[in-house]
Amino acid sequence: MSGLTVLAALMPYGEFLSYGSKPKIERKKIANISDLKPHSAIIFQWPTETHPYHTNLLIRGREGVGMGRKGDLYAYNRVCTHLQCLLNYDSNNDQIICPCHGSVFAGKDGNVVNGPARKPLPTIELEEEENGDIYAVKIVGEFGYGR
Amino acid sequence: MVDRDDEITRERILQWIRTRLARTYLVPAFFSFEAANPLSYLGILAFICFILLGLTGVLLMVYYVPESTASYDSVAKINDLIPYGFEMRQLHYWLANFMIVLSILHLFYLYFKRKYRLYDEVLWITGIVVGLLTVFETYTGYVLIMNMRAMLALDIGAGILRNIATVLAVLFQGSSYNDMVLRMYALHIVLLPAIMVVLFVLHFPRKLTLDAPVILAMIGAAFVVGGLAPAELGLKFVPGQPSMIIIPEWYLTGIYALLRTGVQVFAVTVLLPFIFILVFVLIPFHDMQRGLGVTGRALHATIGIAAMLHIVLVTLWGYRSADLINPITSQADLVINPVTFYGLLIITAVLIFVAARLLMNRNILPKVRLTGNNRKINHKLARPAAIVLLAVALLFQVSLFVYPLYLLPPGSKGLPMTESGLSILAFAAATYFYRAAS
Repeated sequence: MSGLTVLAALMPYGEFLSYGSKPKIERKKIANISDLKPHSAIIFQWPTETHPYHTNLLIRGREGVGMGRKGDLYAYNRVCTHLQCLLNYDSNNDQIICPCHGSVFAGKDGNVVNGPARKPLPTIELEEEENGDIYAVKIVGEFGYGR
Repeated sequence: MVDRDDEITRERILQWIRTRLARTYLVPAFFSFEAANPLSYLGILAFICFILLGLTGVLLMVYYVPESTASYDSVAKINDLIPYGFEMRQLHYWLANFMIVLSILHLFYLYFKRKYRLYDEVLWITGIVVGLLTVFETYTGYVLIMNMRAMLALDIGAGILRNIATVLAVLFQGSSYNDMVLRMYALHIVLLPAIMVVLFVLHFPRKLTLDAPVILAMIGAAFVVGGLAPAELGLKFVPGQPSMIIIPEWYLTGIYALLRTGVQVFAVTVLLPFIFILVFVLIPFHDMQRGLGVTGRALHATIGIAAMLHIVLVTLWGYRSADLINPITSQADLVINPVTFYGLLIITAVLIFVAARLLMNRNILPKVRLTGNNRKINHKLARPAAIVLLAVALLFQVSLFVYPLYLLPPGSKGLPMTESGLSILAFAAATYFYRAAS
């Protein structure tokens, strides 16, 4: 009993190894619309530069249904929801694909199209200003683990 | 040829050393320096790899920088710039591979000899645990370079841990690439080797064989393959660059193939390997029948043979597309149909069982009864033959000095290393034939 009490008292010491794993999410400029050709994608690090899961895709795809002034912007966390490999954008099929175990996600909503992944990709909410600057605002879902 | 007096003097010196060592705590005449069947001391060879890995590892630490943006460049510097850095890195890499192969062969040899029961249970189980730790140790080593393959392995490692418990993934990853590299470094150079040393102490049997020619040959072989098939640096990992299809190290391609079947992650990366290992952990408690090494039971044979076949099959499948024949060329080749995959594993196991049953019942496969001690082998050659072979080995060694291999084809980086390896191999052969002749 006394031993258990000591154990309980020592539990918070585990935080020693998890320092910084809950980062603060802040609105940040990630690109300008002129950096992005239609039907292409860029990779941006957000909200930190250093966390392995803070790598994301900004896609300029079909107009009308996405975010931004023309509704042609889409952004997802770039970490596969199956086993956390890093995804690539395939502009020919408007798909996001995983080179590790073959999962495929749709470019239009981040949902699973194929492969071992089951959870859809976390989406990142964007804002585009008059001058074309694109800001990441918040994430729907959890970095690295899906929606 | 040895003069009679010389021989007596040598014997006396050796005797003096032996009797004095016998008073120490660990050495007490438990080491046998006689020729023995190499299959009977594969574990010792693996342990010698471990010691040499410690040595080469400490030397690599002198130049390695455990920092996520600098580690790749520091390894590249060791590989390309530091004198003998290339050799040191290749030895470290290849001895690790040797250690895994030797451990697997060691396990199966003892399995088929049924050397896991009758008071050997602790040796058997510590062996399995230390074998698993060997794989974890090599994993934490190969991610330290921080190339693209390392990053993939780290991401997948964290993903697997996340499927066990979220907190494990956080402990593994910390909050940055740098945290992750430092954690792997701490595990690789201190924590895992320390646990392994403790387990080795528990795992050492009472009789250990140290056969100098074979040990030398193993070291020579590491030099030769290190020179001929050097481990590459791979592409540096830069956050934000596109990723690509990269196959992991060979001892993880099995898990890689299992993952590509798309079955739930926890089931294929934790549960299946756990059951596989549990069978081997529990075998001493199932196989309690007395008698020395009667390998006559179909279930025993099936577990051993099917396990070996499945390890090979699943490992190869990691390198191949879904049909097991063609190499992986595109994204579509990655997904393996689970029905074919697991179906094939089950069918082969059943077929092996039926075959073993039939062959044993009809006495086509003899029920081998092994006699007590077959460690010793007859290594005596006819004296003239041994002397001729000794001369050939020595001449070969000399010829390597007269015609260094690396002067022949231009440029290749690994050739001096291969040449050193051949020289060590020749020395190993010379010591073997020298002993056989005397």
